Amino acid sequence: MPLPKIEVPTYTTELPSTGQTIKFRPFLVKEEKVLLMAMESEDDKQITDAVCTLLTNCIQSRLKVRTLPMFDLEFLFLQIRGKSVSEELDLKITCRDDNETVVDVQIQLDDVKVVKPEGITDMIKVTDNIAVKMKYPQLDTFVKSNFSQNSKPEEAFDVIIQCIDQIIEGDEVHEACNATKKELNGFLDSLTSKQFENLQKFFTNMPKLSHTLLVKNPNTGSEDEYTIEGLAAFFGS
Amino acid sequence: MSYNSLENYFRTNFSLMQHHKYSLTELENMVPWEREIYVTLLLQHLEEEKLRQQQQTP
Repeated sequence: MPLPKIEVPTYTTELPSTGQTIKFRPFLVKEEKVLLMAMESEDDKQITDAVCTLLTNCIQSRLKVRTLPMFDLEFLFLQIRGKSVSEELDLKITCRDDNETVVDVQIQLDDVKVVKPEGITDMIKVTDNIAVKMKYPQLDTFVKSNFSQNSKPEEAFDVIIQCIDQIIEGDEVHEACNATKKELNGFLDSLTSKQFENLQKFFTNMPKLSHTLLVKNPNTGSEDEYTIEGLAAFFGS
Repeated sequence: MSYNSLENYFRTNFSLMQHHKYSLTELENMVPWEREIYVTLLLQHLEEEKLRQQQQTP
C-alpha cells in the first residue's frame, strides 16, 4: 500500500473553550464550492450540513463539531478561512463622529480572539428553589446567525429552549433532553420578565469573537475605538 | 468566501479550463488563495501581452 501524500499544509490552534490543541488544514476550492451551493440554496438544512462537513473535513483532531459551542465554531471557521482564503480582512468602517466618512481598514485574522467575560456562570437561579443550567448554542444557531438569510425573530425563543441543559428543583434534576418542547415552552412562559431577563443575560454575556481597533477619521482627525463582534460582522453578512 | 457568487465561480473555472489548459481536478484541489494567485498572475500576463501587441501594431 502506498504511503499517504501530504498535499495541503496543516496548522494548529487552541480551542477557546477548553484550550485543546486542534490540528486543521485549509479547505479546498471544491469544498468552498459545496458551501457556496448550499448558501445559494437558502435552505438551512443544506447550509448546516455543508458547514458541518467542511469543518469535519478540515479539522484533523478528534472533535464532535455538532456539539461544539457556537463561539468555538466561529473561531475555528475564522482560523480555517484565514488559512484558505486570506489572513487579512478588508473592512469598511463608517466613522461615528460624522456618520458618513467611510474608512478602509485591514485586520489580521490572527489578532481576532474569543473574548470571555469574567464571572459568567451557566447556572441561573430562577427562584430560591429552582435553577436552570444552560449550555451554549451549537451548530444550528451558528449557521442561522452567520449563513442563513431566513432567520425569524421568534426563533430566538427556540434558541433559549435548545440551550436549556437541566432544570434543577431542589434535589431533583430534570434533564431538558427528556422534556418535550411544549413542556419547556410552558416553563419559559411561567417565568416573570425579571427571571427571563436573567436567562437572556447568559446569551448577551456569552464568549464571542471580538476585535477592537482604533480608526482615525481623515476628515475630522478624530480617533475612535471600534469593536467588531461575531463572525457575521467580520464578513459583512 | 473568495467568490461573490456561484456563477462567478463557474465562469472563472470555465475560462481557466478553456483558455489556459487547467483541468477541473487541478482547480478544485487547489486551496482558494492558490487559485486566486494563478488568476491574478494570468490577468497580469494577459495585460502584458495586450501591451506588447499594442506596441507591435504600427
